[in-house]
Amino acid sequence: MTAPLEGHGLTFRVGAKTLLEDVSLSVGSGRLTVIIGPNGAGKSTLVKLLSGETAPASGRVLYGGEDVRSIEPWRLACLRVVLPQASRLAFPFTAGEVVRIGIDGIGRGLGRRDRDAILEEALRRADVAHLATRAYQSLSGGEQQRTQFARVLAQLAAGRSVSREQVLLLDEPIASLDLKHQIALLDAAAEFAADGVAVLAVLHDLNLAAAYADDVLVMSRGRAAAFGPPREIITDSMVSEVFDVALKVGASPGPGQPFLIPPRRRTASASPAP
Amino acid sequence: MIATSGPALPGTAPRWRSSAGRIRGWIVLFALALLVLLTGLASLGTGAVSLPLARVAAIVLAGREAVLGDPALVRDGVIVFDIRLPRTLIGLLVGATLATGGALLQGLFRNPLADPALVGVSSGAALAAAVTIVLGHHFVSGSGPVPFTALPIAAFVGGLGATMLLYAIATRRGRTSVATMLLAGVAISALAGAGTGLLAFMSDDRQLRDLTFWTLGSVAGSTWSKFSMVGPVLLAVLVAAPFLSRALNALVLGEAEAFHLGIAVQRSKRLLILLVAVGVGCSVAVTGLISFVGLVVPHLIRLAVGPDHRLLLPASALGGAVLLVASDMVARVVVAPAELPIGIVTALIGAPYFLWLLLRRNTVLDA
Repeated sequence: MTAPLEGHGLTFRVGAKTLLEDVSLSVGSGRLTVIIGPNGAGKSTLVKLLSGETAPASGRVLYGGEDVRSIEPWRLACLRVVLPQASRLAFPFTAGEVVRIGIDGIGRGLGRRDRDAILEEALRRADVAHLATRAYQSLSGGEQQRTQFARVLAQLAAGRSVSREQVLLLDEPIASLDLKHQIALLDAAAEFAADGVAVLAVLHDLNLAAAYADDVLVMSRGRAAAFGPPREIITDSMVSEVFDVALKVGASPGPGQPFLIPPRRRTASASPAP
Repeated sequence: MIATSGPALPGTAPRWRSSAGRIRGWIVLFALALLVLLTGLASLGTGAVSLPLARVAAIVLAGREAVLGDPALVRDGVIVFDIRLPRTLIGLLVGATLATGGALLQGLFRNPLADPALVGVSSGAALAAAVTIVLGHHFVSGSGPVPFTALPIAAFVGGLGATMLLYAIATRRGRTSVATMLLAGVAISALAGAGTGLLAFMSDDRQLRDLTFWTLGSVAGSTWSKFSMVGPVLLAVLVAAPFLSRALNALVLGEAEAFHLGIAVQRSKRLLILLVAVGVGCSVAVTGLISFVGLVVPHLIRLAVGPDHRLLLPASALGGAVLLVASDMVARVVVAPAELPIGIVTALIGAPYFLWLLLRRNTVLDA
């Protein structure tokens, strides 16, 4: 059976510099895969290639076994949804209008009522319903990010009318969110996975990766260094080799979920007296 | 009160998609259409011979044949039908096209400061028109003046060349720099202006008169034959533009985002450039350089109905028609019996507005 999203031997260069070399991965239906790796490891480049936004120098991206380049744009927009890193707008759209742009023209056979219902649900789930009439530009970074997430939710819901085998790509989705909304967003992503969506997220926080990922893909210097369940992947040796950090990985009691806590470096006597 | 992520309260209708917004849009469109009609009629009555609105309406409703057969109406009938009507219609269409062109360019560059005249598109078209006027007779057989058909085509090619050059210079890896765009526009305008000046230097008296008319802008030379030539093209541009609304809305989020939303980005951009070049080129061919209409109108419309292109484009077209014909009436009246070139009037309105925009949003170049 073909997976909703597959990348085969993806290589990408800019000039003489190879940003990505021979990366392959497959994201199965209902799986939540998290990409981790240090800065410049090629995580965002990989997401751009997988989304079809950039063409690889060699290798192929397949959606449900179909080459991404042979899928018409409107159908691709129903199959795969992308949450980009934060973006700015030149015109004074309200947050509600930004979300609305995410469903205009997406999907088939949806009436105005259906779209309104999708819109309302997306605004509510991303916790931005109260911001809908505010100008997008006037929102804080985190609020803008949540608005974009609402747009993504709406696109995903509208796209369902065309295909149920969908892929959700999240590029550092929680970078500017507070803890509550980080958890809410990843919960929503996990719910989509439980619903059969193939989810791929770039995260920097290894603890959250360990908490949410079914599989972890470790990127290092443009290559896929490791792939597997978090418990097997997030280890002392991986953290020291890939991230160049000497930290002990702990395991939570019970499920044995790996976690990292940077030890306190300053002794109590070094801090000023209260 | 702190909003929480709990379920929405039943009965809290979200205001942002309220039908009130849609109704407001329709009201604005309707009001603008009415304004177009009134301005058009007023324009038919304004000039050296002033005619009351009622008489203009009666003449138009009676039709050309009936009016010319009636000795009491024949003088006014000739004025309305043969002199002022083509001028008014061309003014309406050119105004609508320039405002639409401005809105399209602003969407393409994702910046509210783009204007066909400001960024050199019109100057490119004018240069090509000037080349045709002054040097055209070398290219056509016989020694008569260049056929008018050649002008819109030349102006279109000039406008297209300038737009593509501008876009290529201002866009690096999918991101359009506004500062680069405005500065490149200044350079392109200056270059095209120098070329036009050089041609003026080389031209004879008749050509010089034609050129002056082009560089200052005027609808005074409007005739039915010009109207029948560019009218259908401008109308086609105006009808085609709103079909790009969804692409323009998505492009506001960014080119990558537009692609993610299923927009064929490159094709949409090419189509946008083509529409602007055709529309502005044909406009420049009949009326010369008229600046700031494309800047002022979409901006005012955005303040009134918001930035959604589905409403912005048709509303800008109507607003542009009103502004251009009203400016033409001013141009005809202030120094009567002589006439000001209309480009001077629109620049007098538009340039201070542009400065005010800059003062109000001092971060505009960083966008």
